[in-house]
Amino acid sequence: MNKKELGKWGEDYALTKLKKEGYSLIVRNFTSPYGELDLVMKKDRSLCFVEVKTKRGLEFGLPREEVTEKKLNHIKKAVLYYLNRNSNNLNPIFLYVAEVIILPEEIKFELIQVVKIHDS
Amino acid sequence: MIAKTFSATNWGMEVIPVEVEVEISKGLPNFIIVGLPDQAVQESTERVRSALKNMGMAFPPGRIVINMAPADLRKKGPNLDLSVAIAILIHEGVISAKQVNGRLFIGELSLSGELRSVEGVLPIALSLPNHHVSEIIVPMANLEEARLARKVPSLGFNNLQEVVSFLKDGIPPEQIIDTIVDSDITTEIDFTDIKGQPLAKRVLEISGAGGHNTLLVGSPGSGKTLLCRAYPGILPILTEGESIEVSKIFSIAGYLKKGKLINIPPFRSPHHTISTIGLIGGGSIPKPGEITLSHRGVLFMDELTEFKREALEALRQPLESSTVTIARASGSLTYPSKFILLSAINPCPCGYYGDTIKDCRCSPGEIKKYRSKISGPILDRIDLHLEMPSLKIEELKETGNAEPSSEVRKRVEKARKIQRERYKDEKFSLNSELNPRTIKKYLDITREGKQLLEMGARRLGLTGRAYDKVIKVAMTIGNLNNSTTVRSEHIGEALTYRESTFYE
Repeated sequence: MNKKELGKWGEDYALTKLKKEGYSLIVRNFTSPYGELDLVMKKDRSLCFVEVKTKRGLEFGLPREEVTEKKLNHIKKAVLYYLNRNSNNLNPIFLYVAEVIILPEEIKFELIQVVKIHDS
Repeated sequence: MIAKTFSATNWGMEVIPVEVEVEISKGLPNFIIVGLPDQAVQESTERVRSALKNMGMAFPPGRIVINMAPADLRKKGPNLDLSVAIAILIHEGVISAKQVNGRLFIGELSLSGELRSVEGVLPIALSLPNHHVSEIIVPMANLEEARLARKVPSLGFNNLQEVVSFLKDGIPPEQIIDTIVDSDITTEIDFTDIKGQPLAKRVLEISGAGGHNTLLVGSPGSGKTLLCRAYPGILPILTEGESIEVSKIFSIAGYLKKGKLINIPPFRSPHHTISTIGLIGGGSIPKPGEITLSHRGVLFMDELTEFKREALEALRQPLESSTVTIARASGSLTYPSKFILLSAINPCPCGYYGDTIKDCRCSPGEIKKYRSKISGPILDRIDLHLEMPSLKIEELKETGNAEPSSEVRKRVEKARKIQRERYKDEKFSLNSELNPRTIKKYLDITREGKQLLEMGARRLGLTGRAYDKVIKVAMTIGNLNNSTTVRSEHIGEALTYRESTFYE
């Protein structure tokens, strides 16, 4: 599996996991001039943007450490771009990092909340 | 949950107890320090992260916020590393919070988790009883320094792992302390090696006995520098109080030698290219300068005329008040600066003005310009002025040995003892530290002495300050002769050290 395939595989894995937890997919790989949004999902009345990070093993640190301030800014801009073009009256809005770690004996999955916006 | 540990940092000569608080929340990994950290403290995040990982301890992946209280005082240096690491481990539940109660942590971490020595441990250890600390934990390399304070128990550790296991099971590692050796004064040059110049030696003896500032004027090769280099050899070792004062300064500056209180008077000889800040102290967080490093010792300024005018003039206030206050945006600091100024110059640019053997090649204009480099106010603050003649061939050929420094030191010690006893109720201990009020109190002068003093003052046109200086020098000369009464011969000798062609 190369890097691209790994990313794709991780996204698929995260999607299945999240679907099981009651999230439904709105759009996948939404592209904006600022970058891509991996998963845009919906749960109850909330809108969730999910950045999926996948890694094999732990020797190069946690996947979440890959999300730098700079990347986060790109994602935030892309989120605003999405919101400007789509109205769906969902509230609140979440930004998550979904972490997928592939270990020899198991696959670890964790959803880390980065931002929560309450629109009133 | 918030975990807390205690540490301390230096602010000039003061010690600031610092409370290190840690909060770790969920979210993307981040590690920030708040509470006015300087660059070195800011960078401790990377050292702590790496040290914890390399010591095989888990580093929490959340948002870590470190707060250093009091938040309005600037924290400097890497000595807070250890307390940050310990606070994180408490938060993670590796150590329980009550195990750090009453303990103070100081130490810099290396990336591998070893503890490195830090500056300023002695002043921190000395101040501990005021801060309700019952034990201090330091890097092994600083252990001897911490123990010098003899105030609270101190424990030394080699790495983070040792500290953690000690906090868990209470068994400290083997404490390695070298035996403390009292150092004796040794100079490369002894008075006995220096030929001739009996008058200059006498002046240095008076200078040492009373702590008087001295200026030697002489042509090249007359032995000025050599004599000055031998000068520390005639100074008595520091008293215990003085020794702690000096060691504190050296500890803050990071110059304290392993586990030794400094008991010999410091001798600093900055090169004449030194900046004003290097001399006086300064920087955005003011550091002690050469004048503070020579506290209770000697500041030797060779080729005084070559120093920057600005640097020289900045000496005025410290010479007068024995302290120096440095104000910067980050705050104002006061450092002690009670030193003996010892300086040497040539009489003119070519160096041979007034020489008995060689002729001077300088024009009067050149000489005037050269001498104007040292201002009146600076000269006025120097108690002893001496023009040294160049050595004659007969003197150089002399085979007999001159008096060794150790003999001179005995006389200096005796004179200082007389002064210490006289001034035991005062805050000072040397004649040079007398002020107009205390001169009045302690001066015991004969009628002839007084007459001679007034005559001399009129003839030399002495300023009020210079007049007092003559009295102080005369008192020291008296002390060297085992007398507390100033007689006319003492005044007479003191006046000769004021008569210098350098003022013409």
